[in-house]
Amino acid sequence: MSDVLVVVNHEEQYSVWAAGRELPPGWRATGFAGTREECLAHIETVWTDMRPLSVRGGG
Amino acid sequence: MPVLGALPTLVESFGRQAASTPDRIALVAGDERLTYAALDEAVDRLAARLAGAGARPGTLVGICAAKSAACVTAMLAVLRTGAAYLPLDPAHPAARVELVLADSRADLLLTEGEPVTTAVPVLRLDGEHPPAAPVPTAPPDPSSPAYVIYTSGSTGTPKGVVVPHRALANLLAGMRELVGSTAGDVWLSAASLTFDMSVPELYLPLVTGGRLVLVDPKAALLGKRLAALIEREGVTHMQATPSGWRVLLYAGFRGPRLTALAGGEALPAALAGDLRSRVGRLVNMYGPTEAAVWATSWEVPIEPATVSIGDPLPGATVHVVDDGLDEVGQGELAIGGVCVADGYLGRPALTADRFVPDPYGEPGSRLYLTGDVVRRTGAGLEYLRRADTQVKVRGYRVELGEVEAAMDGLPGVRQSVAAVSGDALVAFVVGDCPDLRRRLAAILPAYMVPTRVIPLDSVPLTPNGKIDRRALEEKI
Repeated sequence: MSDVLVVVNHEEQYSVWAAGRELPPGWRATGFAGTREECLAHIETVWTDMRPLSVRGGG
Repeated sequence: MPVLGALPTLVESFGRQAASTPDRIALVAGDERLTYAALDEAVDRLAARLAGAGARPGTLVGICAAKSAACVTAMLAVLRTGAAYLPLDPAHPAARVELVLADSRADLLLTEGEPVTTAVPVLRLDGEHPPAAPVPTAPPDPSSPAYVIYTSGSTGTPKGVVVPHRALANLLAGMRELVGSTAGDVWLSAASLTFDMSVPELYLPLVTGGRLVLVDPKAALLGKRLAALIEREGVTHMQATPSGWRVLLYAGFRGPRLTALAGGEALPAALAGDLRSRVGRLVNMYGPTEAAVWATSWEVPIEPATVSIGDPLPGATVHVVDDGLDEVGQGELAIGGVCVADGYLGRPALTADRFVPDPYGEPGSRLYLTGDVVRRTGAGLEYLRRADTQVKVRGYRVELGEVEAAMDGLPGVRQSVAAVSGDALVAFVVGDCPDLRRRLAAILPAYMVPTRVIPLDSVPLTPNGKIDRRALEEKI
């Protein structure tokens, strides 16, 4: 069952989205799909810097 | 909706206010009175020490101190360095404070007395310190975090909500518009600093030239003393939980000129009516920490028949959605807009689960799913329940709030709480209502009538002023 997508926005903030549904503007699918639990487990490993991209700077 | 980044941050607003009204009293705590100039100077001095110890944009500073002028100074000083602060309550068990501090990976700890931990570099707030060289500070980036507040949530594991300056500035601007805050206003702050309800009451007076009166949260549980303080200090604005307002009402409080804000718990209609008749204005506030304190408000009329959480504050959008995020008449409340927090500190999966793409908002924006079930009505949104507090009693789905509302409506009942113990529904009742079960049976289905009624002198409250359900369960 791969009914959920891992998605990411311009601030590199991750979330999940139902596969059949039109993705809102400003978001793109990362290519990872699975159950909601699988997607969340994937996000736990790839979203390593949770600060919004615009404030990451050099700090 | 305000343009992103157009609102000044709290750091800028407070700096401007201090420069324009230096001689006005900004803060009152017990016998201590600080002018705007004195507070601003103290903030500068501490900010210099903090910067010397490494506080700067991108760092997090824990503050573990009793609610005091020094503590408010510390919060503003941390923000002035560009860092974010994490309030910790020295009255909480040391293990809880250490857990939160470790989970947050704070870079520094500001504390009074002996530090709770040696794992983090410590700066002492008390005692004498040589002046540090002032450091030039730029106003913080509106997207950078202002504070992190830990919430317990229903899952039990505390999690830190990261709130950016943009959301904080939006809250203060929205609240200012809602209550018409002016320089003549006196705000009482009675909430614990680890409870985000304290955020608007601390900062709104300080960015509008008003006066902030601090009260120890424990003293706020003593109705008569608090009522006397409100009178003596000429308090014009005050927030409290419904449970907190009840304590004041029992003490016979009347404040015909007071703007009363109720939030943090569902406001029962009977209490709303009683409180409304005793104050100048009553506003019911609703919001989760994840949407920067307050997201909606409702002006309570005289003798309200029902209670609403009303309409969104500026900068917040609200949607009642089903599982597919489609708008419905009754469903989960989702909040979007500038008020939405960054997420849960160090919890990517949990953040991704609750903060989802907003199909109704700006490109790339997120909706926070509150877990609160609401219904759209002509008077705005009606709060129904937590999505996860519906309980099952012998196979029947029971809304505890519905049982409580029925009990509260009986003559003689001052306050009631319903709880589940094993297979039975239990009621805690303050007041004197003979034949409570028989009277309830006349208005509720049998499975919703509590099998046991436990009389109480008063309902125990948590440090945040909410009903302490765990303490009640121990009485069963």
